Amino acid sequence: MKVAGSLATQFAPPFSLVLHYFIGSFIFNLISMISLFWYSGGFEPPVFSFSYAFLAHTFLLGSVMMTIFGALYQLIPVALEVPVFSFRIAYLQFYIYLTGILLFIHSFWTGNTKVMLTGATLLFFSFLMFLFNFFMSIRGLEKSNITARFLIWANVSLFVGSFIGLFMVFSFVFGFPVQNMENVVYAHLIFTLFGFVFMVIMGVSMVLLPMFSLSHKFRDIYINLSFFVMVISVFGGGFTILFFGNTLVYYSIFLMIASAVGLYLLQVYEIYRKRARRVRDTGTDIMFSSHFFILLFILSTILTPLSEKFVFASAFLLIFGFINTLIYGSMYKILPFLTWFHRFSSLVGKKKVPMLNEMLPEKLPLYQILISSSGVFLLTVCVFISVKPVFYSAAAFMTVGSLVFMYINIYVLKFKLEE
Amino acid sequence: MTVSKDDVYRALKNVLDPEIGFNIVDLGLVYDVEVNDGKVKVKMTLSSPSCPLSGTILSWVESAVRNIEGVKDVEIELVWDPPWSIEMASDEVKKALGMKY
Repeated sequence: MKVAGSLATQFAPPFSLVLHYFIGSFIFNLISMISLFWYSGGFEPPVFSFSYAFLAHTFLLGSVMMTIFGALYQLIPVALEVPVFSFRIAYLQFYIYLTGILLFIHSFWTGNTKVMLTGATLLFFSFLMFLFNFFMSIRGLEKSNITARFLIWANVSLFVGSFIGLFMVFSFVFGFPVQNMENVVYAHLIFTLFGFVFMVIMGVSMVLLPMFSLSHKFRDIYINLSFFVMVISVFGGGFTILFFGNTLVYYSIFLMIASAVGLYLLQVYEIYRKRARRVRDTGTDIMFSSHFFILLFILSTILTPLSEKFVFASAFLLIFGFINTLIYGSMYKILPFLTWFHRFSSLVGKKKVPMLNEMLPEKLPLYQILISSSGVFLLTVCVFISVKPVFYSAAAFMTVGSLVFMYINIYVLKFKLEE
Repeated sequence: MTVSKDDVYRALKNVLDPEIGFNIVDLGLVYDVEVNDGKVKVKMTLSSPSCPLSGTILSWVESAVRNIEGVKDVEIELVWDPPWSIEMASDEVKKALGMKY
């Protein structure tokens, strides 16, 4: 066959590599939700404590970033049309990363700073491996689109954010003098959560949302503006907080980030408005609807000067509301595709193969999202009213949601052709 | 046996996009077909330049055309200009996707 044109799939990673990361992510997602039960006393300041760090890192490192690494190994060739530099490094990174997370979250639980140091060092090393792999992969990048720009800055941000994180751990263990630890924690948060996680989401969404919704001819001005504001907010704001942070600076920087996120939201709406696929498609619908949580997050962020409790509310709406729901929706699109490609694509023309949407159990993904989202709303309410039964209901909803999510993914992975 | 354009289009109607659930001809992804002395050239696009199934779909196109009796060679030209849009799809596809047309 002679083919003229560009091809994205010849660089696809091994199925097992992506599964390593995704399965790890599913397990940490469940652990995060179960661990919510330990916070039944309510969410009280200070926000930055080992107790909350345990929950944040179990979820963000274990579930969110594990998903991101797996997805990026799959999406780098698709979105950027370059091969991943080394899958061996990607496999090795997984095991070092996993060990690092386990030690790190264990240390938050027990307060053992020596274990924390080992865990943090392993995590930092695993990030360096990913960054090396990423930047070696994009050496041959021919066209720089908005996704590529987001991913490049996101990875620079990961380096800065994780370096600050490692510095914090060293200062805990060896007693480095730090003038204002709160500034360092905020800078770490901005570079890792908004700089890495959020910029990856924004960049990758610009490939996945139009592709899944068959959206064409949309304006891209909002995302270009969002990119500009986000990079300035994260890098300008992150370093400003690190050296000159105070309450007014925190608030200003978070408002700038919220503006960038708001522009991204407008872009998502533009894509949604121009979609050709208007019939129900559960995964895509969930991906779009997850963005409602961003509106609530922005509102809550604006209200943070009124009470520190809004910091908790903003965090829950952003990470458990938006990011987690987006991950659930994305997985309902990505995992059936990967399984189908691995197991059924070679049978096309020889046997009747399923369509991708047939590989998901009917209606269950929708119920799963309703259960999990109810949990997020209840959890946010619990920030303001410490009522134990409501709190336990929130934790139970989110745990059941995570379990159902895991069941659906196992269902997809075990999907077989009808004889 | 002489191969006609209709034979090629008929064969390409068996190539489905598993994500959208329609064949590539009704989706409007096939822009042109040339047949010259058993040599077939298919000019086509995909619904997205980032389509992760691009390589697979092209191999199905090749296989579908090659299975037509009388075909000696297949050439596929993958183009992005003009970009695909839903207006290129058949009315049946538009209706199934929930488009008002």
